[in-house]
Amino acid sequence: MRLLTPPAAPPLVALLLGASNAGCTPPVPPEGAPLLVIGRDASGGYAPVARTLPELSDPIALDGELGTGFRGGALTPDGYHEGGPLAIDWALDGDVLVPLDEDGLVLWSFYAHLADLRAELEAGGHDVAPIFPVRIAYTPASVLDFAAAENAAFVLGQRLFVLFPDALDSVPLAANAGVVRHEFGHAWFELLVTGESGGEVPWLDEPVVVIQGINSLGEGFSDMVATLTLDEPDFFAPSVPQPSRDVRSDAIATGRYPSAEDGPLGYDPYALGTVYAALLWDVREATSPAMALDLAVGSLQTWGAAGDRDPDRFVQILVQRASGDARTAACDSATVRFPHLDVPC
Amino acid sequence: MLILVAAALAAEPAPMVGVGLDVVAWHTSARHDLHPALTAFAHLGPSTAPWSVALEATTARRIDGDAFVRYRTVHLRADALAGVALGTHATRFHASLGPALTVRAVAVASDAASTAATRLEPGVRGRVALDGPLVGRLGWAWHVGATTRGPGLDWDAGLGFGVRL
Repeated sequence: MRLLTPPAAPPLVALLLGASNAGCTPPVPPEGAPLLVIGRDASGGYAPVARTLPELSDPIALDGELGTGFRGGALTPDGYHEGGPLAIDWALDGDVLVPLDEDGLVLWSFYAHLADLRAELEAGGHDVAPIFPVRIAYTPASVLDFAAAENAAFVLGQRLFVLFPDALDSVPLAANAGVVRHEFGHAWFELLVTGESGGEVPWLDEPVVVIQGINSLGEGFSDMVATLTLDEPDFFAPSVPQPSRDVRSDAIATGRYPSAEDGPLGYDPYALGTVYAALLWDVREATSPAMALDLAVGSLQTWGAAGDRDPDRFVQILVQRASGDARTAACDSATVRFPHLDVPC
Repeated sequence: MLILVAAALAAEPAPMVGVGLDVVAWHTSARHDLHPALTAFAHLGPSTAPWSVALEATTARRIDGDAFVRYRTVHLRADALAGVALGTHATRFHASLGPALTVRAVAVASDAASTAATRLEPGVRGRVALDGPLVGRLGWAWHVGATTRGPGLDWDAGLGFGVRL
């Protein structure tokens, strides 16, 4: 209940209330009001900004054309059991909606970054419409082991983002545009490889070693999406230093492949994934972020259509499909980063 | 320990006033946020009657946010509960229900927008508690409870010490 000052409030109650927003708060925010979010500017800096978000028709419940948010719920092997609706608390500062806790700030920021990415990809000729609408679960209970190392995750086959709060005193991970784009990269990976979003994920029935190899390529592609769409090689830095994920590294694939000894929980897919992403960054350095992204997307589609399960085939397909400066860069990079691989240069 | 138990068994049940430290799970926009809180309490009513009245005042201050937006939230909750009080010795079990009122004041500070908001959030509180003697007129009290507030529910547990009247 938000009624603060009944018409005949005793003076003591009125005294307690004080400052602005100490009266009746409208139950519905003004339509189209700008929202306070943590935004990213063109130079890569983050700052709180007020912006409109027409895709978010109901900012209180985090519901709109991109998808809907849920509070809690449970993630089980059977899928996501939806939690209750969100109820983002807010107040007005002038005409700007200000969330009254960091959870609300993070959720609005996440939605804004997702909206920006969708608009950019569609403007670049990429059809990502089948991915939407998505569900966004905030702090669900989970018995699944998924890569929530970034405090944000995407669950394949569910069209589901999972977000958790963090204790960082910098850019919250779920409000980091790069992290949002990385997680969207998993959704896009699923669409490109399987041809659909939210359906069966065919490689989940493969042996663990195969799944882990594909996961590495998935993590690599997600890093490609984040680094190339932001043109930022180290997108984690505003939130938390992760130099091992900087795609300008000299990382090579040797020693980073999964093996049977790793078991289901002992393998780090990000190590090899960074090498795949670094390959595309090398292409970007010779061409442009858009060209590198287009090449990655087309190559992944080809890899998926072939039903291949060897992630290194993606590298070979990419080199074959590249031309001009992109091919030269891809050849040079792949020869160094994948020394064991027969690169068709 | 045996002396304390013997003293507890020998003592008469008595009303108590005291203070305690709680852990409260305050519900936010999207989850529950655990924070410590201070509570002043009074367990009242005739010592031999099977009912009691509890008065509580709880306050907590939370600071949250990141490098860009800082949140300062102060909760002040008052409640008056009535319920059953059971026990054949000085240690008594209470199960109580009653109205609660939470005043929540939030101050938000950022470069882009800053504001303050105060919410009056009436609700209902349910609580189970134990209290008993410690030594002399000193006593202890423990509780777990839940309080409705706006669209959600706050949970809490606490331990306190006080004076038996």
